[in-house]
Amino acid sequence: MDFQSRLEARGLSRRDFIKLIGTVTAALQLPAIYQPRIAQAVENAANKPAVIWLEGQDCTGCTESILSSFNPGPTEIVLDLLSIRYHETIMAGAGETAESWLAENIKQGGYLLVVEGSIPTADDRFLTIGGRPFRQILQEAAANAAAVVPIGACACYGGIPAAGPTEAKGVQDIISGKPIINLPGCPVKPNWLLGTILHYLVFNQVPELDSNKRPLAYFGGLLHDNCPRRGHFEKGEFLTDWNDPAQKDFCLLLRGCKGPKTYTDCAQSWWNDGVNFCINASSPCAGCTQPEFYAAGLSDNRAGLAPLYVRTDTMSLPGIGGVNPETAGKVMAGASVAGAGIHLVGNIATGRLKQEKAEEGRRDK
Amino acid sequence: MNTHHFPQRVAHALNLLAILALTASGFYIHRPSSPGLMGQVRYLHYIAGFVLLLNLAVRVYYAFFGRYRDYQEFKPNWRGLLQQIKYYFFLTKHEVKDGLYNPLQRLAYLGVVLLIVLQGITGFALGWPGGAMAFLVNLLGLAEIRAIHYLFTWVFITFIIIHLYLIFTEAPQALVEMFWRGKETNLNTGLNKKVARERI
Repeated sequence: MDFQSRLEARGLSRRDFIKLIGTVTAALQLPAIYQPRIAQAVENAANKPAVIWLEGQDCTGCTESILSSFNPGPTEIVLDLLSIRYHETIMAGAGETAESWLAENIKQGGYLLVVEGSIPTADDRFLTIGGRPFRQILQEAAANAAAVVPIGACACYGGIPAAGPTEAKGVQDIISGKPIINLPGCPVKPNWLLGTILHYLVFNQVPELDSNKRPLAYFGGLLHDNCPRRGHFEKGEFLTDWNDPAQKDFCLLLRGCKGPKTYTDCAQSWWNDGVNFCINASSPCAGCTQPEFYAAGLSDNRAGLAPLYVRTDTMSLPGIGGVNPETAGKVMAGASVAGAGIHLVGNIATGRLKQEKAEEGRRDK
Repeated sequence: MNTHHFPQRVAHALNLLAILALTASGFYIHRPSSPGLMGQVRYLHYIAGFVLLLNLAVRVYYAFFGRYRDYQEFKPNWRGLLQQIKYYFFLTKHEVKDGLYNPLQRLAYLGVVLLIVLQGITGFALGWPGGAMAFLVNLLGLAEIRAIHYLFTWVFITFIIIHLYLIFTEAPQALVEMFWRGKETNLNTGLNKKVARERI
């Protein structure tokens, strides 16, 4: 079956297909001139790009997110766009069959390895599949992969499980020597994953990444700089009372919004085909694309972004851990006031002040 | 002859105004309230920051190449440090007499220079995260840099508390002379002779 008739069999006209490619090109922030090239890459991928999808310590939220994609829809993703060889949540096979199929695909190599969920490092027994430690499965799968794409905060930086007892780590702490493209978020946004996969197919190389290994195309800008509530921030209108209708559109900074510290394109490309996103729905940004996401700061070695509804000001000092600069500053300033007071008592007791005055008196003469 | 010459007095006054403006506007930016002045307050914060940094640059240049150059006054005096600390703890009655500033003062003022530079660096990183300080943002993250910038503000406040207390109790005359041209005094007799010669 050629590509055209396969499209038609899925009820997609050529026009629908080109529209879809146009959307994806725009999402990649590439000029329209790339559109034919991307369409070509997708058509060439009639021997569709193989994807192996592993799940570690996760909530399947990222899978849900991808399957809730509108444009392209889940059927296009699963059946037309990608050849998903192994995915615990949506695959039909189970048990020995599925595991041997995974082993066979790993042997073939050259696939994209998508990882969802974190990896426990405290003890391998925290997560085993078919009796084998997840860490071992991940290392085997990564060894033959063309590139590794950790999706979601957990797979990228440890995420929410990192707050637990399993000493959860992201893929970048386990795997080395393979190109890693982090796509954080809680959950990941569908267009980030599809765009990154397409970018990889078109250019056959890893997109430009920042220091946290995130594609700059999606994570290059601060949320705060494009926030729809930015005007209220500039005017100093801050939401303090959730129940006051007059404040409902105000800036959420005082209610714990992490937008000024979070790199993401959420404000420009909204969720669910542009329906909404957190801040627009009156929820402060949780900073879910940041490595510090969900770290409390005081117990963790990172400056934290948790909890959600509180302005977090903790900073980390090497060797000491989390410190609240507000407390530290007040203690420091308070100690200096107390020290000055004690010193003043000493000055009076030893008669030093009088002495000074006498000296001055002499000088004035 | 005066303890503080006109350029030094101007630099000190500019420092005072800029640091006051920066601290006040900084606290507003840290915990904003209505009425909404965020844009204006931040603008003031930027202007005061540039004034402070430019003033520092000119002052440092002046300390080395100005008519009344005084870089010698800020050279750390490690030998006298212990005695000066003892003096403040009432363990000795004799202060270190060496130039205009005592050994602890020298360290404190050099520390302020360092503090202004660090505030400048973190401030630039916060104001323009994608700018020249982008590497720092990538290294530490904005949350950390913001916390450091805020903590340093408290270091400034601590410095000012101690600075004011010691000026009022130890050298009230110097306070007057820092703002107005003082009378002819012989406060300079303790000055390093080489500097004194240079000044003449």
